[in-house]
Amino acid sequence: MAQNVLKFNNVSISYGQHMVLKDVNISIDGPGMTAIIGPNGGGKSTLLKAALGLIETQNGEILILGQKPHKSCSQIGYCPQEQKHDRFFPASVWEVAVSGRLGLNKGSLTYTKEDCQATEAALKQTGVWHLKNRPFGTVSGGERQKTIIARALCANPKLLILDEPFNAVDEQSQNDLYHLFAELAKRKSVIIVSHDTAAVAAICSDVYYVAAGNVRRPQNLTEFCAHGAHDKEEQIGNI
Amino acid sequence: MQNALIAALLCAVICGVVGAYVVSARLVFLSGSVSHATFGGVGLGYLLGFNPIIGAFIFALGGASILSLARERGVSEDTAAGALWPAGMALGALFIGLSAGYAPDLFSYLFGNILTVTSSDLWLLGSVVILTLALVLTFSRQLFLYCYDNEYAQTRGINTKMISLILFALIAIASVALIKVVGIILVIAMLSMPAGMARLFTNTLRKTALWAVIIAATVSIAGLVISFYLDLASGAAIVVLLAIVFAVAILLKNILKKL
Repeated sequence: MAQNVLKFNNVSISYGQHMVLKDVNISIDGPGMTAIIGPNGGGKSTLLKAALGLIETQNGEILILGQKPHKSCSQIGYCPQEQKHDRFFPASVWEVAVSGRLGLNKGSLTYTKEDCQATEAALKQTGVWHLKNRPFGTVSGGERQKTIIARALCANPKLLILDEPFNAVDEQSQNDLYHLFAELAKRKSVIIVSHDTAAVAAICSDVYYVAAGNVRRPQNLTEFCAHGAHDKEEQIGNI
Repeated sequence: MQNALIAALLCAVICGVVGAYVVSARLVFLSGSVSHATFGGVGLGYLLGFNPIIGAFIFALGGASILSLARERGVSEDTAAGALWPAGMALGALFIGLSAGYAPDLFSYLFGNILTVTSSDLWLLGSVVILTLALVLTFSRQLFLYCYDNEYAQTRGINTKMISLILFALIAIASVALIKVVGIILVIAMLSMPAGMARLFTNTLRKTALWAVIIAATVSIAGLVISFYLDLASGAAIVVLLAIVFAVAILLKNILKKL
């Protein structure tokens, strides 16, 4: 049964005097896969951070699974851009992945058996279980990305938000991730944020285009995705 | 000498555990500014006639809180640390200048003198060890995620402001505890070098902390014995020995890499 997973009602966000998002309206139902695309600097990351409760909105309301963002933390699996991590931080693949369980068992000082079982299942699902004892900084870009996705999955979230999941990932890993996301989207809501239209067009059922602080939703997805990035504004205008 | 050896072991636990976070989260410069800011508190103690260590503790916690707030509010950490470092030292110099008469033991606050550690100092160090271990063991998962991926920690509903304050409070407490051993100016060496050395050969935060404690304990005791028999300043001897061992460790790591 379809459930509303993400709703932006007339949301505006500005950094100082600079308006980054203006009167944005979004309504995403799940399960399924939705892409948020647009050029770099268009407002995708701001939109994402607002949805995760990391930045305040000036106007409007954001609801995740019917609740305010900070109240729905345990139901969101977030996968940030891989490049943001310090590769030299002393952490194993396991330690990175299991940290996704934080916030679920609040009374416990250590990870529980349930935490370990969920993390093992997530690492096996993303195909990096055999690397669990390897230092996170020494595995390949694709393997790090899969670990970060496992970290998001191990909390068994209803909504999975993936920020540029195909960056710095080789072709084989990209194919693996496509299949994994498609499989996950059958029972969860998956939102992929990307500037690469071609990469997400084939696997997403819905697309929002973010540029210059405005968010629009093309009606004809196939035709929209067939055009180059520079034609997008014109395309949206014609819809 | 017996008190000095016990103090060296207790300080090794403090600087090894806290140093692992300082080095891994790249907080060496920030920690240096907190430890140097304590000089303002020492000066205030001389001026107002109370124990300078209490003043150092107040300034360390105040400085750590300022840096923690700066970090949370997006102010450049480097700039905040760069301001706190000389401001604390300058305040200390002003307070000492304004206080009447001679400032006894000033040199030992700046460069440490572990041979003058008393039984009450040992009780204080023991309490700091217990407090440090209690905080780190209670919040180990949150501290790990905060240091590794602060933004992601927020998305998991972790109170990152509180974790940031705990981390900086640990640095502040460690800075004050280490003053007796190596002095204000050399504290940062104890927080960075043992953990930095351990980091060369370990891949997890827990192992880094464990090996940093072992390295700090071994080098501190060796430095203490050398300084005792050669009649050298103990804090300086420990830090110079640490620097030599660190340099050898880097060379060894490079040789092992090429094999």
